[in-house]
Formats: sequence, C-alpha cells, structure tokens
Amino acid sequence: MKLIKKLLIAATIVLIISCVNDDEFSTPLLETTDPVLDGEIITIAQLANLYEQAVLSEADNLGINATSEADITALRSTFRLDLSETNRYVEGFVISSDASGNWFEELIIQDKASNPTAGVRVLIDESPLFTYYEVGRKVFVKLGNAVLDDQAIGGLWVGDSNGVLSLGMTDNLDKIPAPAQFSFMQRSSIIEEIIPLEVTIEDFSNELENIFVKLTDVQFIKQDVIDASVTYAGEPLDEFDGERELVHCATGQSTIVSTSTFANFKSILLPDGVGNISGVLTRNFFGDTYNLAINNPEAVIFDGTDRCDPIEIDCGGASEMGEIILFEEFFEMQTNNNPIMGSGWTNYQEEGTQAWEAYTSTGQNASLGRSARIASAFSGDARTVSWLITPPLDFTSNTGETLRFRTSNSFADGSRLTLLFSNDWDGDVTTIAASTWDVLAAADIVADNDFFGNWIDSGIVDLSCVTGTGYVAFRYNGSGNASFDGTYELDEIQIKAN
Amino acid sequence: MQEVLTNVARQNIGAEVGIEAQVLPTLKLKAAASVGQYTYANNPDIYYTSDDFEGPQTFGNGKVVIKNLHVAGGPERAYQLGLEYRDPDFWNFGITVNHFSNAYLDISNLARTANFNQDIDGQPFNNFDEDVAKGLLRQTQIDSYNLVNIIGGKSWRIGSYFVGFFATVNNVLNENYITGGFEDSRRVNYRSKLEESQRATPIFGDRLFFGRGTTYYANAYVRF
Repeated sequence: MKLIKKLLIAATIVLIISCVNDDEFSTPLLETTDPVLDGEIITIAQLANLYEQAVLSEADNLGINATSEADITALRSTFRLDLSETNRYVEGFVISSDASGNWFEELIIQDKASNPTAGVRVLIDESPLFTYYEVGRKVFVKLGNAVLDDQAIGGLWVGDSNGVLSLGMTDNLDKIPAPAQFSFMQRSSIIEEIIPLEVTIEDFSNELENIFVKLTDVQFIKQDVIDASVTYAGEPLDEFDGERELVHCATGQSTIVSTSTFANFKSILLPDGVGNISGVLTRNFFGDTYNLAINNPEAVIFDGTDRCDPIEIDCGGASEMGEIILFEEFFEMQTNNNPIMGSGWTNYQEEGTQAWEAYTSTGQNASLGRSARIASAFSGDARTVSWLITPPLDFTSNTGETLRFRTSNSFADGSRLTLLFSNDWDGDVTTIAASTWDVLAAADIVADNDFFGNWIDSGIVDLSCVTGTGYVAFRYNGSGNASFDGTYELDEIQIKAN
Repeated sequence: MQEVLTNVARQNIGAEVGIEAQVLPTLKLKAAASVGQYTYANNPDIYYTSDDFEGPQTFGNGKVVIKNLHVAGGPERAYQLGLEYRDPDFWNFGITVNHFSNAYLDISNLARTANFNQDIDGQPFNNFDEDVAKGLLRQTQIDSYNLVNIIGGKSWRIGSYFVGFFATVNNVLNENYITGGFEDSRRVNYRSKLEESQRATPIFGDRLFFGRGTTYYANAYVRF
C-alpha cells in the first residue's frame, strides 16, 4: 500500500509539472531578410542630377537658351529620361502614406530619414500602398530593365510630372503596373523614424520638393477658421483638392495646404490655433504652385491659441469720394527706373534690396502713363519686404476720408502686396517695423490669377472711422526665390475727404 | 498539395479511475473519470510538395511552431456518473450522466510556419503585432458539454420462449455540442487571418463537427 501511495504522489507531481496552459505557445519566428541587389545604388540627388544634366543637354540640342528659367521649366515638363540601360537602384525612405487617402497610387521617398536633401515620387498603380510601404521604410527602386515572370518589362523613366521629379514607366511617366511593382521595388528591413526638416515658407525651392518638411509658427488664414469654419477639402466648391492658405506668423508669408477630396479627413474642420505642421512639400496638379500635403490631420499641431491675425480696419462702406484732395499720386513726375521719391513718400526696404521704382511700358502689359512697380526677381534676396508709405494725413479735422488706387501684377505667385494703415508711426523709417500697421482689407488688390495686363480698381476704401494723423502704406513681401519673386504695379492713388 | 511533417514528438500523459458500488442487490452505482493531456513536445520539420512548384517548399527555418499545442483527439477530460437498477420482475433501467471537456480543434500547420508573418517579399508584415498574432494562433478549446443517456428494458417468459424489448435514449437533454473540428488552411497568414477574425462570420473560419441531438433506439426480441 505504501508503494502505491508513493507512486500516486509521484504521478500527481508529474501531472502537475507537465500541465500546459493554453497560452504557453509561441508564434513563428519573425525573420527579416534584406534584398540582394544586382546593381549599384545611387542617391536620389544623383538621380536628380542625372535628369537635370539630360535636360540641359536636350536644351542644347533643341537650341533652347539654358539660362532662361522659363524655357528650361517648359522643357522639363515634357522631357523624360529613359533609365532602362542603367543597371542601378535608387534608395530612399518612404514619407507619404495613403492610409488616410490623401495620396493615391504614388509613393514619395526621400534620401535620408533626417536632414534629407532630395526626394522623388514613384508612381505605382496600386492602392493602398501603406500596407506594404509604410512611412519610414527604406526601399530600393530598380531603375533599369526589369523582368516579371521571365518576361522583360523594360525600365523606368524619370521626369517632371505635376511639377515634381517622378519615376514611372514609358516616356509618358505611366504608373508602374501593380504586379510589376515587385520587379522594381525592393523593401529593406530598415524602418526609421522620419524627422521632418524644419523650414520656412520662403525656403521653398525645387530642391525641397518631395521632402518631409515642418513649418512652425503657422496658422490657417482668418477667413477660413475665424470668419468661417472651413474643412480641409469638404466644401461644395472643392474639386479634386481642397486648397487652404497657411500663413507664417513671423513673416506673413503664406503657402497652400492641399488635401484630396478623397482623403478620409476632408470634412474635418481646419484647426483655428497656431502651431506647426508636417507634410510633404509638393506642387499642385498643374505643377505651378508649391503645396504642402499632409499624411493625416495629426500632422497639424495647432495647439497655440495666440493667433497672429493682423488687425483689420473696416469703416463700413463708401459709395463715392469727397471733393477735397488730401493726397494724390499718379507718378507722372517720377523718373523711370529710379526709386519713387518726393511728394512725401517714404520708400523703405525693411528687408532685401528692392525698392518701389517708376517705369513706363506699352503693349499688353502697359503702364498707366508712368506707374510705380516692385519686383524681387533676380534680386538674390532671402526676403524682400519693401514699403511705400504716404506722407502723414490728417484724419481728425477731415471727415469722410476715402482711398482709391489701381494695381496690376506679373507672375505674382507667392509674393504679396498688402495695404496697411498706421496712426502710431512717428515718420521715422527705423520705427516702421515696430509700429502698429493694421490691414485695410476692404481694398481690392490684384490677385495672382488676374490677367497680368489688367489694372485692378481697388474700389473706394472707406477711411472715415480712423482718427489722428495716419499713414497709408503699400507693403510688398517676396523673395529672390522664383516662386515668390512676382512683380506688382501701382498707380492712380487718391485720398480724398468731404 | 502535400504537407509533410517529420520529426514529430508528442507527449501523452493522463490517469483514469473507475469505481462501482453495489448499493442494493438491485442497484448499482458507478463513476469513472479520465483526465489526460496530449500535446506536441517539439517544433517538427515541415515541407510542402506540389505539381505547381518545384521541389519541396519550406518557410523560414523549415519548422512548424506547435510545441505545447494539443493533439486533436476528442475530449481530454471525461467524467461519468451512472446507476443501474435491475428489478427481480425482469425489467431494468439505467442512466448515465457524462461530462466532457478540454477538447481542441485540429490545428493548421501552415498557419504556424514562418509563412504566417511573411509578406510577399519575405519581410514581416508591417502591421505585425506579437500580441495580436498570439491571439490569432491560440488553439481553440471546444466548449465542454454534458450528455445524459438512458437505457431500459423488460422481458417475459412465455412457455419456453423469452420475449423482451429494450430501448436507449442518448442525449436526453438534446444538448447542442461540438465534437471536434479543424482550422481552415486557406487564409493563414497574419494579415488575412486578422481580416477573417474581424468578420462577423469568417469566410474561411474553423470547420466544426456537431454531435447528434436526442437519438432513440428500441429493440424487441423473441428468444427460443
């Protein structure tokens, strides 16, 4: 009996220690393997240079003037380089994500996870892509001839599509067919966190395209978030994309946040605070303007409440101008190509080298007799801020003051002309920046999409509600950067009272 | 396609016990229990062959990760309580109550190879989550069930003949129960299994076998 007891106890112990819980199992080993590449790896910058060189050589062949930026840009939009004979791969990190639907059948890759210097768009006829190419994944793109199921399917072409450097198939830059993507795309096991490159709107350049950038101290414009509640891309008039203007507080410079009407966050209201936004710098569909495209609304962190909207002066309205002329300038007495001077004008360059100058012109882009203009093209300025300020005007003893002028522009792009008013400036140029300048929003100022030959009437701007001694100013913001170097023309300024 | 497993180690342990007690000359009580555990003790080698591809196909290190999973072979635990009554007037009646538990579905081996977490290029799926994966690969334990069975009969002697009948009723309570089943091997990688698990009704879910409801059997006889 004792033996049986011992055996029973031993058996019980064996049973207990060998009992397995239902959770005591493992999942298959997670293995990572890196692809074996059959060619040399080049950087995205090298790819971009290869293309630029081919563009210039093509320009030479066609007799196009290589120093004319407009001509080269036009050539770029149609010229594609065949890479099928290059037995090379280009490597990069994925920075776009179609998880929220703001990208479609395209993958943006940049050369490094942090401090990137170049980026390229890869067109792939597949949706979604984020389940395979997630943000931060290092990928290799085969440029040369590839095979699919033992069939030769040709190589990739590089070119300018929608204004940005893109890789696709055939000289039409078609999307890589979905089954062929694995013949061209190889994933590395490396996944890195993408550190956005901090830039300002004025830094925007072709070199920053297809790069994950971060803008700080920015807000959506007052008209979209304070005066109204506008969504990213869910407004009745949004077609394909919702384009929303974003302003940099420190400089007043603005750019466009573009959101697809297929994005799942299109109907989310734009945040009304101020803060930072991270996204891919790209161009609009037509390739003519910089756009910032975000992967999801979490990329917009506008948690600051201290908005930087300029104060706007709105005196109601005025239907006609009075008889008393307080100030009038038609620029006829100025000297061509010399800065505007005399008549009490203050012509001041807060930043940059460009001043308001007098000019005459005929033809399609004619001046009104002699007019004033400013442009920052070819200035080399990092920033151009130029003021043209009237002499002091007495708004206390006069009543029913009104203002009227005309403006025109050429290739305005991202440069802007703003009409301002101050009654606390002391007339000294050194204190201009520190004085309070409120926006006279009622004036109609020429917009980028207006025909360059037209002179836009400002309408009658009511100034009857301002008091004291005040100044009216025309401020130009731009830079030497081709996308911000527009020209503004100004004439027929009249300030009258009853 | 053929699946070949080699080098399989299993561990079977368990105990069985039964007692019978003749409480009255006409009444017998009986009880039995069987408790066991039948598991795989290692991660065997696995490969696949088919006319559709060249040579044996393996995934990752060629192992199938099934250590500590249960071999599907019916309930691992069974308990029975019964009584038998034999009346001197030549009739009898018996009832048994049975409880079955710890049965497991037969596992899909393919789901437990490296194929499970590999995307098309052999890299792990980019949304792979170990905890979720563990949830997807947990072996399903079949719900326990109780069966009540009744047997009874009577016989008469007419001259030199014996006339009698007996009847059995199985699963008297008409319990709806699952006897076994197997995991589908069609959509077995992490991503498709996750997708299946999120459907209200999986398209390629587990295949289950159900037990019968109440069944009746009656038998009459004449013996001479």
